[in-house]
Order: sequence, then structure tokens, then C-alpha cells
Amino acid sequence: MQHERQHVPVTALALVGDDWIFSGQGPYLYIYGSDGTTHRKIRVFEGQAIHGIALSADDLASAALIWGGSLSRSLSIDIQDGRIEASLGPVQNVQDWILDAAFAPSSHSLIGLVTAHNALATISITRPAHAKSPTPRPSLQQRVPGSNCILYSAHILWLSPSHCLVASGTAFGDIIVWSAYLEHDSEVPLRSHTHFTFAAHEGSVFGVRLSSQLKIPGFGCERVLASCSDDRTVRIWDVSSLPMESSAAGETPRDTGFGAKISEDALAPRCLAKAMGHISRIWHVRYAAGKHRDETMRILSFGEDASVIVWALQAREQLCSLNQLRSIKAHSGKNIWAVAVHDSRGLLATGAADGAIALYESPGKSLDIHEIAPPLSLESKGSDAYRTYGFVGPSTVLATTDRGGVVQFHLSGDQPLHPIEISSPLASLRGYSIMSNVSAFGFIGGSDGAIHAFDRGTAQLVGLAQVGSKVAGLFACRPRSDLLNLLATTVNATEARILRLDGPDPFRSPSRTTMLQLPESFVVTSFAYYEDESLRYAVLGSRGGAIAVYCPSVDGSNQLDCSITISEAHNAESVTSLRLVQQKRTPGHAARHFLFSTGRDGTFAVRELRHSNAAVEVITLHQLALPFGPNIEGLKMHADDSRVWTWGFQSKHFVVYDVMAQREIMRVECGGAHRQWAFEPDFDANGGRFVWTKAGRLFHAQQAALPFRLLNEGGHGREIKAVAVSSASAEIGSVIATGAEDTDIKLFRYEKSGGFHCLQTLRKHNTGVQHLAWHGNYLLSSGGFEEFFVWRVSAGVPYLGIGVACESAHPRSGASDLRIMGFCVDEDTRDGNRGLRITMAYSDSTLKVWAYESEQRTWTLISAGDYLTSCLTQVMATTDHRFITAATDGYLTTWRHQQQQQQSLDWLSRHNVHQSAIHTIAHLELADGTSLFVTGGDDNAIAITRCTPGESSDDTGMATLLIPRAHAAAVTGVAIISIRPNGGECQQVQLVSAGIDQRIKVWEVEVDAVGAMRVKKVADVFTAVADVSGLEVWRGEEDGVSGVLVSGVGIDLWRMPSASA
Amino acid sequence: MGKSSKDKRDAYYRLAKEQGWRARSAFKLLQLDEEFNLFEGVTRVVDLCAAPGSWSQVLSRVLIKGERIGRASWEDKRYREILRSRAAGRQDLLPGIENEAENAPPPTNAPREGVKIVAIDLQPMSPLEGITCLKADITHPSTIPLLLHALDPEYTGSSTTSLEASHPVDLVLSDGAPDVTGLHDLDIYIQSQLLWAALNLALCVLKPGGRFVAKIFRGKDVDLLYAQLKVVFERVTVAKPRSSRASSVEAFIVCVGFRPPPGFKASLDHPLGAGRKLDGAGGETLSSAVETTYKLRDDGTVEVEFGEDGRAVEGGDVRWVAPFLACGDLSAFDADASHKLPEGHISLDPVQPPTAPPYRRALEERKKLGGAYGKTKLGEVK
Repeated sequence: MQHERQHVPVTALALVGDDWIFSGQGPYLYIYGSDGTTHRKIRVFEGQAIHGIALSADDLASAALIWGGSLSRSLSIDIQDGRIEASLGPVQNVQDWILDAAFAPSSHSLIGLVTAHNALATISITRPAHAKSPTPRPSLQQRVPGSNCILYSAHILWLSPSHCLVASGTAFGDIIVWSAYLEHDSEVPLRSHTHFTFAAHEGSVFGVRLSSQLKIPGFGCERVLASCSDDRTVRIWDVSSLPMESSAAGETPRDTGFGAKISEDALAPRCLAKAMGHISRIWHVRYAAGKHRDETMRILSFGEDASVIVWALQAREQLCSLNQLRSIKAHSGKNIWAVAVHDSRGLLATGAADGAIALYESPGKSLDIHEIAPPLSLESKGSDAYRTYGFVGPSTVLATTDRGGVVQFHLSGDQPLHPIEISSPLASLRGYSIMSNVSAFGFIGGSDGAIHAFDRGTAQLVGLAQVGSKVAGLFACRPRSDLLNLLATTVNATEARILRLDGPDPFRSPSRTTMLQLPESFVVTSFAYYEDESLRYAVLGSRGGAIAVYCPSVDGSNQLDCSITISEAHNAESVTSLRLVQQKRTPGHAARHFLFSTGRDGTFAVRELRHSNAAVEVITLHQLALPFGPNIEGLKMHADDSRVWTWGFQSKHFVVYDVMAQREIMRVECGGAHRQWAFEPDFDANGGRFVWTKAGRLFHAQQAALPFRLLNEGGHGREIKAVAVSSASAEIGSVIATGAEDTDIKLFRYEKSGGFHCLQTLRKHNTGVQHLAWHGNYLLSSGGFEEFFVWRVSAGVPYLGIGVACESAHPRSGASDLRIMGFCVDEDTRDGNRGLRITMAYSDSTLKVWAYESEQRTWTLISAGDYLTSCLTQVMATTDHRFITAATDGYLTTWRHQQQQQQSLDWLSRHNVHQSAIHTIAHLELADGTSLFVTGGDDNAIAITRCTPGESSDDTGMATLLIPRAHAAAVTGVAIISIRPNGGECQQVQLVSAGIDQRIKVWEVEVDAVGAMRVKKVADVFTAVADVSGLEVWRGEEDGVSGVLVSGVGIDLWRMPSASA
Repeated sequence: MGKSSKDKRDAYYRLAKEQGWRARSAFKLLQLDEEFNLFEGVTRVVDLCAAPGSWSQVLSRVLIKGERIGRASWEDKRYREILRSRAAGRQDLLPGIENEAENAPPPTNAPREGVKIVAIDLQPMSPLEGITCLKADITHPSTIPLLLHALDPEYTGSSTTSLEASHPVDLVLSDGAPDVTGLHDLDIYIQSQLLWAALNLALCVLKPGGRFVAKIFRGKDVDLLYAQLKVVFERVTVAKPRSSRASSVEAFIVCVGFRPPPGFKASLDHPLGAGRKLDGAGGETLSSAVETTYKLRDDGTVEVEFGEDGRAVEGGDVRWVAPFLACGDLSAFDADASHKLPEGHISLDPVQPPTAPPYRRALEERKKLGGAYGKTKLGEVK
């Protein structure tokens, strides 16, 4: 088997020179250039993930030590002219879990390692002078025998070429600081001393870091130790002096375990500061380069919550404090496993369980927030405040005040932000005004029905129209540069008007006013307009979540009539933005029109508008919840490339999110959704300007660059529980669907050049996903709480490519705490029915057959039956109208079902295959009418069961070939790759299996004419995917090569060997 | 999850509360005993990683009080009812349905003589009658003399080389598991270290022929552990009781027939696990068969063995896959299934509240601050 591609947690990182990123993912070392392109993929270990990378301390980083578990390998690195070469030394077994390693000062051959039993080992790499091969030959020496306590963390720091200072954190909250003095020629260490042994935390110490020698004026400490723990605290200790007298501490018998008291021996260094910030465990702590103002040092901590917290250590006199500056969450899901800091450049890299690498150019730098001076009260007395405002240019804001004044301000970097008066207070805007903005124009409506227009070019406010009563809403839309439409609504009116502004003097008189009859109780919250030679659309969104589409009247007048209203287009929440997109006519295809929208139901949607014979049909192609919200407030598509930005709020933050890249662009802490605000995106700068009101004051923040870059993004942050691949022949092509413990379903496309690309994330399940299956362009998913969803997947959606909408949720979703463990789906072939037949296996031992009718989206129970008391795990339908279920008792059970009548479902017979739970099943029907069931069990076994349907219904006709010790742990994935005749009446079946032991095995089974089976193992490889939950056959679209896709903690794709003769 | 829904999700959680067990894991030991007769002839036991003490409770009730706790206490009555109703008139379905639990002799009280049980855990444990409880870290070297002293009050510990019990024990149990981090390799390593620590203690106190039962994570490289255990025990089986969820990596290694390698001395300075390994010199080498064999079982299933035991891997270690045995009759409640609660079911409080986590103080602080940790003011205004 040949390894094709993987997407697994990043467990080691190093920043090499200025241009290279080294990353350990499973057993592979990846070398990326600074632009994120992969330059090398090097297999370092056979069956061990990489957990650390140490670089030699010379300027060129000419050597590295890679380690994982108890194994290590040296790597020599040669960087020349933007190219990088690397060659590995032999594997060294240190015999204990390696926690940290470091090269001796200015050495590229001597490395110290600390293991989980607090032992120091050294490796020296010598290059044989006369050897033909340049492979360095390492020699390993155990320097200081370990004590028996288990460490979770260690940091080794060379103070001189013969002195290692080590900090170790134990499982029980203790920290030990000790020294080892080495003599290079000697076989054994001469001396080691414990400086401190102290109870540092209330939980396991997951990270320790010694600082370099500090020379900070006014700061009394020359060296500090930072630690982080299960107890959610980061603590800073003063280890300036290293007492020598406590060499025996730690080895004397004492009370052990949690809460144990260490004698009051003054062995503890002074705790300078401690602080909490992460919501769960903290895995690592580091020192950041760069600091400013009154900070003494910057500390970084990295947590299970997948976030980085930047701390300022501030020291004044004898008082130190640790203050949180900033928290950044670049990764999805949980667990930052790997960290690298580039000291001179200030660059930070993190790697997480989601398989992504985040690069932060200046992690400590928050967005600058500036206050905008309050409006000057022009009537000299009393105060005034900003009422409403919006952008009339990339950095120009138009605002009204409570007193009816109109001002603008330019948000330029450093100058104090003061408003410039546009108009003295207007009576009509006093105490009430609303605004709408588009490009350089602003429109302001007042309580008396007056509408004023502002053009940044002239910086003048002119009266545009009078609509007779209090203006309730203004919505400007500029579908073309020569056309601007302003929709105005008035309070309690049943009509809205569109002012067409394309005349010679558009801001003094609209060229046309069109009245729109509003649907009943339709409060307009958004508006979009489209027009070409043959077509006009006006689309309105309402506070109640409805979307109304208007088309020209059939009578040929200029009137627009409401053609269709989609109620609950965004459930019952406000439709906050609408955009119409035309997909240009192509040969053979008419132009298509799409409506993009966002709503306060937390979703982003794409619908197609189909216009024929004056009727409009609206088809929802895409509607998914975004990872922030529920108040999604705006939407903008980049004109040239495929970027779709949405923005809105998430608890106290304003968030900008790219739907295409599925990543956060910008985040500002503003206090939450309920306030006046305005946002102007800036695609070129990867940011924009955000202005908001908080406690009566106006603030401004600008982002001019992404806070972090991402490599390999898009993975689940938790373990995948289910996987399904759509048929390459489906309209949407081969799409990989994965459902994970984080309750998300993700759709991926695999491309040889770009790897796994996440297309969409489906967020609707409230519990872990149990099973996924494709049926044409339908994806079906099941989970706990009886959750079952039918997703319709569409191709050809502008920008997105693939669109996904939840067509139906099973009516019992959320009704109980039963889990739907597995299901199978086929066409409902009963008379007069069109739709799907879905058979579900439940955790309470019941099996139910449902009919789903896709037009009306109705669900009907066809039949139901009980198995015994075991949890069913799988169900599949055979072509001879039977169901086969698998259960946690290890039995395969045959059920009879007849399509034509409703009846209770009965099982006919059961056949014992495994000792305990059957985790996985694959099915193949042979030409002779028999079928094969391949099962993987919790009992480590793989069973191949041949089923010969008997005449009698009681006869299982099942015979099993069992491989009891197929894997060293539970077998959680099996699949059938191929079947082919192998001489005479023999057939050869190629199987693949995967298990919790992280092995993928390929088996060849020969079935002869009488059904006797012979099996042999033809491949056995390690997969970096832990907790394997599924295995799917992969048939590549590009080259048709078949392979297997393994899912669990990550995904792993292997090419299959061709079946042996 | 509410108490009641947890009762439905997990039958053993409910049964444990109803039958007064401190944790559902009591059933795991009981089902292991049903299969392996672990307590036969046993009077001296060490229970490692014992808190909250459900295994010690089992020892107390079985060995000290002489109770017999049979299958009836974890049997799902519906299982046989359904099978019986289906089997009406069908002979082929009857085998396996007869109710052993009903035919079993009534429980008798037969307290054993000279029972000595020592329980050790990191966390404090509520006392149990007749059981010596120690609060100690089993991975720490100072725990060995502590344990020897608890087993034999005469033990003085004057000589550090004398690390063997003068009156060895019959059975060493360990149900310990670390708080998992989610980094699978590390969790497997830490679990293996707990197992090594338990085995280290067992080597000091177990009598030849004694038994050792410990929790194991069946994950990557578990076959390396199996191979090591096989060196010092005659029979090594990996067992999964019905009360342990199929969805969990947990299983139990049941080692029978302790055979210390000749000249083997348990050592404080060189404990197992930290680089020290058992070599196969004392015991028989792992299976040397190299041919594929097919065996027809009575039930018609053909079993295949490839004879590849004892192969060495990267790093030079030897692997061996211990045979798997599911224990507990199929009539036992299924730990993975959702259950209907019995009529009139009242959800009980757990017998013992869970122990305080190390982040308890963090939670308290958080509460004090009204939900979020130290509400930070980002980016002060200039």
C-alpha cells in the first residue's frame, strides 16, 4: 500500500530559519515554505507519531532531533538557495517517553533529552570520518537514572556545554528543578542536584518553561519558570538562584498522591504571579518575543480550548501581576498540541487536533481601538450623541446625532478623530433618524417623512424626497454603477416605494417611483434589486424571516408585483441582508439568478430564482448555520475571487467570517449585538473598519491584516465517528462526508494537488454523529436523541460550488435519548410512492422502517420490530428483501420484510459471529446468489460470513470464517475492495480492515465452489489516525485508482496494491 | 445529562445505585469473576487505584462477608422472556435459553478465614469494614514499603533490598485509569505506566501461581504489553465484561499463574516500565508456530491463526496479541443499549459523590466572577 494523503493532528512544530516550518503529523515530518507550500514529506517512524522537534542552536539550524514516544532520530538539514534537503539518522530507542530535548549550546551533535521518569539521556551524533554514507551515527547514553514519579512535562535548558538545567512537572502537581553536570567524554554523569521540589499546582503540571537569563531593568529576577496545569492556572516562579543543598529531596518516602504536603523545607521558589484564563486544561506555556509599555515580559499559554492567551507579566517593585492581553482561537475544536516560537522574528506557530497550523506574525498585538470624539453640540448647551451612522467610503463615516445634526469623520490612523459638520441640526432628524449607505452615498430618513441624500464627492446633504410619514426603513441597492435604487418604507404602511436614482440629477429627483404592495405583516429589513434587458427582480426580506420576490407586472406596466413569498426563509428571524447574483449565460445554458441572504437565525443561504411565464420559482440550494451568530447581520461577495464574507455577532464580539475559506477574518470585542454599529469590509487588506457605540461612546477599530494565517485548515477539532463517500458518478462527484464528536458534519473534496479541501460544515446535530450515508445527491445523518436529518446537496452553486440544505429533520429528532446507531437507505418502491425508504437501527434494540416523501417532506412509519435487549449497531438491506442487523452481542440477525404492507417487523434467525459488539460490516453479493458479510468486532476479530439463502426461513444458511486475532484491538472498519474470478469457480475477494490498534490490513479471501474459504494477509501498515471509527473504499476521480480512506482522529488515504495473482 | 436519562442510558449506573455499589465498575469485577473464578481460594488481596472503592466493596462482600453475588443481580429479565416467547414451538432456539441463574444454588454465607485486603488510591477513600486503605501513588517508589507494612505489620522496611512480602497475596487488582488528555499516544503511555506500576507492586507481593487483573486500554501497541505480561504469567487473557461499553477502549487483562522468572528481584531502582523490560528467559517463548492453521469449531465456525506471534518491531520490542474473551452472559444488561426504566422507577442519588477534580478551585473562581473567567478588557482605549 502506498500512502497518499493524511489530515491528522499536528503534534510537533519548529520554525527553521526565516523561511521554513517543520511539522510533525503522525509519523511524517512535513517541511513547508513560508508561503505554506509543502516542500518535503519525510517518513520518520514506522509506527510512531512525532511529538517533538529540537533544532541545533547554530544559526543555520543544520541539525534537528525528531522524537515521538521513546524513539528519536536525528536529521541533518541543508538549506541552500531557497531549497531544503534533509536526511535522517537511524532510529534510537530511549526506552522511556521523551518529554523534551535540546541541543547543547553551539553544538549540532550533542543533545540532552528528558524522559517521563525524570531521566536525562544524551545522544551524540558523530559523522563517521571515512564512511561512504554521510548518515550520522548517534550514540545514546543514559545520564541520570530517573525517579519513579511520572512527569507530564519537562523543559531542558543548557546553561553551559556541561550544565543542563531541567524543570519537570509531575502528574500530581509538583515541579522539580534540577541540574545535571556532564562531561562529554565520560560514560556517566558526575553530579546531579535538585534545586527545588515543590507543590506547584493543584492538578497535573502539563507545561513548564524556564526563561533564558533575564536582564530587565527594575525586575529583580534573573530567571523565571512558567508553569501551567490541569488546575487552569498559569504560574510564574522566581528561579533566579538555584540552591544546591536539596539534592535528596523527592527521593525520600513521603505522603504521595493528590494534596500531599511537601515538608515546609523552603524548597519552593517564590511564586511571582498566577492567573486563570483558559476554560479547560492548559497544555503549554512559552515566552513571547517583543513587549511594550510597562510590561516586563510576555507569556503565552495554549490550551485544550484550542486558544492562545497572551499575558503581560507586569512587575512593579515586589509586586508582579499576570494580565490577559488577548485570547486568539485560530483552531477549531479542541487541543493545541504543538507550539513553536521564533525568538528573533516574534513569529508564533501552533498546531492542533484539527490538523491545522496557525501562524501569528505578532500574537501579542490586538487591534487598536480608538474613540471618536462626541459630536460638538452646535446649540452650545447640553450634550449630544451619535444616533445612526454608516460608511460612505472606505474610511469615511456619515453620522446623525440625537439633535438632528449630520456630521462625517475620516477614520485615518493616528489623527484624533473629530467630526466634521455637514449640516446643522435638522428638525426632521431630531430625536429620530435612520440611514442607509451604499458606496459613496448615504440616505437619511426622518420622522416627518423627509429623505436626505449625501454624496461624499460633494460632501453635501440634499433633500431627496418626502414620503409623507415617518420613515421606517431605508435600503439602498446599487446593482450597477449607473443605477441606484432606494427602498423606503413608512411606519405601519402596507406599501413600500422604490426610488430609482439614475437620472441626470439623481439626488434631487428620482427618475421613477415604484410602489410595492407588501405581504401581510411584512416589516422590511433588507432589500436587493436586479435588472437587465429582459429581467427585473426586487427582493425584500422581513423581520419575520420571510423573503418576497417581486417581478414586473404581467400587464406590462412598470409596476412590480409580488410573485412569491417564502415564509420562514430564515426561520422566524430577521432577514438581514440580500444579494442577487447573476451567473452569466453560457453556450447551451441560460443565465441563472441566485439570491444570497443572511438572517438572525444564524444561517447563510443561497437560493435560485427561476423565472418563467411571469411566475417565479425559488429553490433553496444552500442554507447552513454559521459558526457564529445567531445574529448574522451582513454579507458581501468579492467581485473577482471567491470570497464571501458574512459578519455579525457572537456573544460580546463582532465577527467577520469568510464562508468560502470557512475561517474567521476579524473579531472585535464590542459588547454584543444590541447596539448601533457599522462595518466596511476591506478585501484587499483582509480586514476592514468597524465602528460601534458602547455605553454612549463611539469607537473605531481597523484591521489591516489577518490576525493569523492557516495551513491545512478545515479539519474537525474532534474525532470523526462516521464517514461516507458519495459515488463519483453522482452529480456532485466524489464528496467525502465526515461526522464527528464535535457534532459537525463536514464535506470534503480530495484533490491530488491540494489534498483534502473542506467544502462545507453542517452544524445541526446536537450530539455526536453516529452514521452517515449518501443516496444520490442526498446525504443522510443520524445521531443521539433520535436525531436524523436529510440533507440535499447541489452542485453548481455560484461561489460555493457545492450547496447544502437540510431538507427535512425526522419528526422524532430530539424526542428521546435513543441513539440511531445505523441506518440503510433505498428507494421506496411501494405502489404509488416516491421517496426514500430508511431503515433505522436503534440503541434500544428496535428496528424501524420509515418512508420519507421528498415532495411534501413527510415521514411515515412502515414497520417496526424488536430484536432482543442488545444495542443494534448496523443494518443493511439485501437484494432478496431481507435486512441484516448487527448488534453489541456479536450476532448477525436476518429480518424478513415485505414492502407492500404495513406490519410488524420480525427477525427470522440469528447467527453468532463475534464474542462482543460488531462495530462494522460490509456486504457483497456474489454471482452465485450467495452473499458475503465481512464484520469487524470489539473482540479484535474479523469474520467473513457466507450466506446461502435457504428454502426454509429458519435456516440462516450462514457459515463463518473467523480471524480471532486479526488486530491487537477492536476492529472498527472493514470494506470490500474488489472481487474477481480466480480460476475455475473460485473467487478472490480483497478486503481491508482497520482498528483501534492503528493498523490497516489488507486480506485476500479465496472462496471456492463449495464455499470453503482461505484467507491471507497481504498488507499491514500503521495509520496515524487514532481511534479509527470507519473505513471507506475510495475511487479516485482523477486517476481511477482505488484506495481506502480511514477516519477517526483525522483522515488517512492509502492507495491499494493491485490484487496479487 | 440528568440522573434519570443516565439511568436509561446506562443500566449498570442504575443497578449500582440500587444495589449500593459506589460505582458501576463493581459489575465489571463481578462479571470477570463469573468467567474466571478470580476469587476461588483467595484470601489475601491488594486492590490498587481503588477509589471510590467499588472493587473493594466487592472484595468485602464476597471475601469478608461471604456473600455470593450471582448473575441475577445484573440480568436483563427481558432477554429470556423475548427468547422464550419466540422459541415457543421452535426447538432450534431453545438451547442457551435455560436460565442458569434460576437454577443456581441459593446464596450462602461463608465468610473466609484470614482475609486480608489492602486498598490503595491517590484519592482519599471512604473506609470499608475489614479493608486497610492507603492513600498513596502506586507509581511512587515509597509506596512499596508502605504496602508491605500494611500487609504484614511486622515488616520493618529496614533493608531496602527486602522488597518481597513475607506473606504474599493471592490476587492483585487494579482498576486505575488516568484522566485522559486526548493525545492518544500519551494516554496509552500513561495507562501502560499505571499497569507497570501495578505489576511492579504485584511482583513484590504476589505468590507464585497468583492472579493479576488490571484495566488496560486496547489501543496502539497494546500487544507490546501483552507480550511482556506473558513472560511472568502462564495464561494471559484480555477480557471485556458486558458491563464495560463496547464503545470504550477499556478492557481487563486477566493474568493467571504467576511465575516469577528465576532470580527475578522486584527493584525500586529499576522499576519496570521506565526502560526496564522483562526478558523471556524465565518463561516459555511465545508461540513459535509459523504456519497458518484452520480449526473447525463445534458451532461450525472456522477459526484461522497465522502463527506470527513474537515478531519484533521498530525499536526492537516483541508483540503478542492475547486471546480475547467477552465475559458475562448475553442475558446481562448491555452497557451500550438504551433501556426502558422499570415502572415506577425512582432515580437514586449516587452512593458516593464523585471526587473533587483538580480544577475545582477554577470552577469556584469562575462562579465568583459570574460565569466567565476574569472578564478581560481587551485593548484599552487610547
